Amino acid sequence: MFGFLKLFLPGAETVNSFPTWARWCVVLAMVVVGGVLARNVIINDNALDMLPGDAVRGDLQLLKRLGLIDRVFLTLSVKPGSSLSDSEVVAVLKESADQVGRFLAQSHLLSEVMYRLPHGYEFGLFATVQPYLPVLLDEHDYIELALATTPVRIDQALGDNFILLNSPAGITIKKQVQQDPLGIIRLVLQKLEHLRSEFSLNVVDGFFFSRDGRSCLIMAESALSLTDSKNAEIVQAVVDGALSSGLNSVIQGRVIGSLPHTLANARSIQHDLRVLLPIATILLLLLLGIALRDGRALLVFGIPFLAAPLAVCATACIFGEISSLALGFGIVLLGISVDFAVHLYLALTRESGGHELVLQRIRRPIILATLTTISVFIVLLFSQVPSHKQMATLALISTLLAVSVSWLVIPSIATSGKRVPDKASCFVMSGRYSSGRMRFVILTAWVGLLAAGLLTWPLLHYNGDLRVLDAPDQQVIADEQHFRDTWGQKGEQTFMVASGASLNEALDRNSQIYETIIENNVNAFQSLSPLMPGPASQQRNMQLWKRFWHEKRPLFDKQFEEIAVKHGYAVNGFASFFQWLDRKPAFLLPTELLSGSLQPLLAIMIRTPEQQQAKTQDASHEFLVITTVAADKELLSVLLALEQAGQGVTVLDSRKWRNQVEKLLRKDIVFLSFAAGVIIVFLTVLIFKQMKAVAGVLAPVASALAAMSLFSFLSSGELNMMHLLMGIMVIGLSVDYGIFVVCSCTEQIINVSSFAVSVCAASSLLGFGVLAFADHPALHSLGVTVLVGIGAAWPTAIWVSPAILNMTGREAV
Amino acid sequence: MANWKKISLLLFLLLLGHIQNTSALAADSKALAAFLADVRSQSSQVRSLSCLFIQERHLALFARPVIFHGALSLIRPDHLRWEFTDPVSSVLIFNGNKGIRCNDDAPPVHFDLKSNPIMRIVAYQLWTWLGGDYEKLETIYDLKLHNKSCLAIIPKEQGAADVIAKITITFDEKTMQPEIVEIIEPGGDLTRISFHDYKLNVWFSEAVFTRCGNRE
Repeated sequence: MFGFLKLFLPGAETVNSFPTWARWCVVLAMVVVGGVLARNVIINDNALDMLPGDAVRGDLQLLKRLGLIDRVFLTLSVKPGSSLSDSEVVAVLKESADQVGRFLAQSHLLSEVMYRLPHGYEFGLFATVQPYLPVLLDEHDYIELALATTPVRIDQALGDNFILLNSPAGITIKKQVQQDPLGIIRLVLQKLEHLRSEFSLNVVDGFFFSRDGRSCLIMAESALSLTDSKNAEIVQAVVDGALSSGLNSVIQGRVIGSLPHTLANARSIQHDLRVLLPIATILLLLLLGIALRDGRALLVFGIPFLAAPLAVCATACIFGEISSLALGFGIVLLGISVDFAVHLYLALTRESGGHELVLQRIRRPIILATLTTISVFIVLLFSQVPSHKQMATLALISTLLAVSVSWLVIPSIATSGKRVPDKASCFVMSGRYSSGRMRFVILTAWVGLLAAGLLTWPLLHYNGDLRVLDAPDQQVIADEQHFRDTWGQKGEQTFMVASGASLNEALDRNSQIYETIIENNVNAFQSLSPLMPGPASQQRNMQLWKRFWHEKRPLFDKQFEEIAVKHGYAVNGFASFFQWLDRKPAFLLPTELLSGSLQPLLAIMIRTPEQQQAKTQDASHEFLVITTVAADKELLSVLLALEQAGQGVTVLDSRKWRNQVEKLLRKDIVFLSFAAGVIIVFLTVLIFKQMKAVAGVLAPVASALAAMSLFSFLSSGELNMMHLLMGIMVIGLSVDYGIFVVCSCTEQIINVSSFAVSVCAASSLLGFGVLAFADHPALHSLGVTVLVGIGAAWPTAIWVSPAILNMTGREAV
Repeated sequence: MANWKKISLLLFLLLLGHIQNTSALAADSKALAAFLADVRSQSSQVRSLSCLFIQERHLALFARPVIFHGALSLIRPDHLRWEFTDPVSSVLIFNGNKGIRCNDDAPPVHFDLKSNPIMRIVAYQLWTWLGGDYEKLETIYDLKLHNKSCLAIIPKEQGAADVIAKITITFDEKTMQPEIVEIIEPGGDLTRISFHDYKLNVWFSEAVFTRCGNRE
C-alpha cells in the first residue's frame, strides 16, 4: 500500500549502494547550505503570533501601535527612615526627577519622557483654555453656568474677587478675574482631573508628586520592544544609568511595566536552565551509558538535528519570516525524529540478520511512525494560531529531512554489537504478563485512566491569558505593590481607542466614548475629550453657548455692571470679559493645545501614524486617541456595545481577550484534536486493519491524553499554551511508541522495539521531564506535560498494547 | 588718513567708556552683594516677627484706590499669617504646605500648596519679599540697589514679567526689615504696602497659624 514511499525514503538497497563518504557529503552539504541560508532568515519576536483569531490579534496589534506595552514607569521615593523635612523631601525629589528625566530624555532609546510640565504651565493653561470655553462647555455645564449668572451669585463672586484682588494673591490673579469674573473656567478645570487618570497625584512645580509628597513619577516609552529580553537589557542599562547618575543618595527608584517582567522572566529561565540542564545532561549520559554502553549513541541523538538549518530556511521561505516561538518549539518537535534514529540505531546494532535485512524490517514501522507524526503536523497547519502553522510547517519539513538524514548516515556509524534473542520483545513482555489475571489488572487500570481522563476533560478550561506563564520575581511584585500604594492605581485598566483617518475624526469618536463614560457616572478615567473635544462636539457646544447668552443678555450685562459698581469696581473694569462674550466663538484646534504647556500630558493619549509606524510596520495610516478607564463588568459590557455600534472604536481589555482567546483556542483544540484523532485512527486502521492492532497503536496516545487531562484537573484545572504545544509532541511520540510495539508484536520483525521505546521514553522524560522542577511557569508546564504524558504512554506501550493484542489468549499475534 | 585717526580716537573713547562702565558696574555689584549679605545677616537673627501694615491698591479695575489695614505674623521658614482688619476682615494663612483663607464670616477655605498653583505662587511671592534671602533671586530677577536701603527687583523671565514690571523694597536702615514694598504691574497698576510697628522674635501660639479667628 505504502510501497511508493520507498521512493522518498531510500530503501536498504538504495542506501547501501551509496558509499559512506557520499552519504555524509550529502548530509554535510545539506547542513552547510542550510547554515548559509539561515543567516538571512528573519526571526520575528511577535508575541501576537501565539494568539488565535484576527480580532484578538488585531486588538493586541493595536495595543502595540499605541506603545502601551513599551511604557516604563519610574517611581522615585525617599528612602524609609530619612530624616528630611517635607519641604526638603520635595526639593530633593524635584532635583532627582529633573536629573533622571533629563538623562532619559537624552537617550534615543526612550521617547515621550514625561517627568515635568513646563514652567508656568498653570497660567499657560488659563491663557490657552479660557478663550475656548464656548466650545469646551457641554450640556452638563449649563446648569451650573445658569446658576453662576444669577444676581445673587454674581454679587457673591464679585465680592469674593474684590477681597481676593486686595489679598497677596491679587497680583497673580488680576488678569484672570478681569477676563472671567464668574470663574466659568472652573467648570472646565475641574474636568482636567481626567487627564491624570485614576492616578492619585499632585502636580508640584510641574513635577508629578504622590499625595503624601514623598514620591515622584516619571513615565517614558521605549523605542525598542520590551517583550524582547535583549532589548529589555539595553533599555534597563539606560534606566540604571539615569538612576545612578540622577538620584540623590536619599532617594530610591523603582521601575514597573513590561521591562522588569521581561527581565525577571529571562533571568528565571536562565537560572532554571543553568541548574536543570546539567542535571538533565548527566542523567541522559548515565541512561545512555547504562542502557547502551556505546559512545556512538551520543551521535545518534544529534544526527536528526542536522536537518534543522535547512528546515528553518524552507519554513522561513514559505512564510517570509519565522516566529521565535515557532522556531523554538519546531526544533523541540524535531525531537520526535530522534526516536526514529534511536530505533534505527538499536535495530542495526542489536538485531541479527545483517544491515540490509534489518533496514528492510525497520523501514515499515519508521515509515508508519513518520506518517502519523507528519499527519499530526498537517492537521496543525489548520490551526487559527499563526505560530502553530509555522511550527507545524517547520516540524513537518524537519521531520522528513531528519528521517532521511538518519537513514543516510546512521547505518554508517551503527556496527553490530550486542544481539538480542530472536524472540520478539512482545513475547518477552507478554510472557511476563501473559496470565489472564495480570492482563485483566493492566487493562482495568488502563480503562480506569481513560475513564478518569474522559470525565475530567470537559471540566478543564483553557486559560488564554499569557500572564499564567509570567514569572515576576519578589522585587517586581514588591515594586508593583509599592506603585499601587503610592499612586492609588486600582485593578486592571480598559483602554478605549478611537481611530480616524484624521485627528479630528479620531477626536470625534473619542468624544462619543467620553459621553458614554459620563452617562454611566464613571469618575475614574483618563480622557482628552474634556479639553480636546472633537469638531462635532465643539460645534454642538458652540450652539449651546450662543443660545445661552442670547437668552441671558442684555439683562445680564446690566445686572452685572450694577453689582460691580456697588463693590467698588470701575465702570469699565470688566470690559475684557464683555468683549469676550461679544466675540464670535472659535474652534479649538488640537495643534493649539499640543503646542501648549500640557503637551506632555496630552501627547501620551494621541498616537500619530508616524509614531505607530515606528512601533510596527503593519500600522495603517490613522490617528489613535486613547481613553483609559477602570471598567467594571457592567461598564465593560456598555463599552463593548459601543464598540459594536460605532465605527473606529475599539475596546482593549484583557478580560475580553481572555474570553475570546479561551473560546477560540478551545475551538481550535477540539477541532485539531478531532482531526488528528480521525487521521491517526484512519491511518492505523488502513495500515494495521485489525481492531486490536489499531487499539494497541492508539493506547499510548489515549493514556497520554487521559493522564494529562487528569493531572491538569487535579493541579490547577487549567490548560495553557505550553500544555497545548508540548501535548502535540507527546501525541507524536506516544503514537510512535504504539506503532513500534505493535509492529514488533504483530509482525515479529524487530525484537529490540520495546527496549528502544524505553530508551526513547526515558530520554524524553529526563530531557524534558526535568523541567517540571523549574521555577518558571512556562518551563514547568512544558516539563509536567512531557512527564505526565510520556510517563503514561511509556508503560502503556510496554504493557497495555501487548495486553490488548493478546486479549484472545494467544501469546502473540 | 585723518579719518583713520578719528576712528581710532573714537574707538579709544568707546573702549575707555566701556572700561569705566564696567568699573561702575563692578562697584554697584559689590555694593549690592554687601547690602544683600547685610539683609540676610540681619534676617537670620530674626526667627519670627509681627507687624502692622497699610496696603494701597491703585488698580484700573477699581473705581478708586483701595486702602486696607492689616497685620502680619510670621515664623521662618514657612508659617505666615496675612490679615486684613479694615475695611473688611480677611485672613490668609500659610503653614508649611497647607493653608487657610477666610473672608468675614464665611467658612474657612483650606488649601494645599501642592495642588493649588495660585496659592503656591502667592506664598512664593510673600516669602520673596519677607524671607530675607534676596541673593537667591538673582537667577530670575535683576537686582539693583537704588540708594543705601532701596532694592529694585526686575523680572528677567517673560512669565514673571507679564505679571510684575518692578518691585521696590525699601528697608529700615536699622533693622533691615522691609519698610515699604511697591509693586508695579505692566499696565501701571500699583500696590504699596507700608509695614510698621515691627516686633522681632516674638512668641506665637500655634492657633495663629491654624485658625482664622484666634489672632493673639
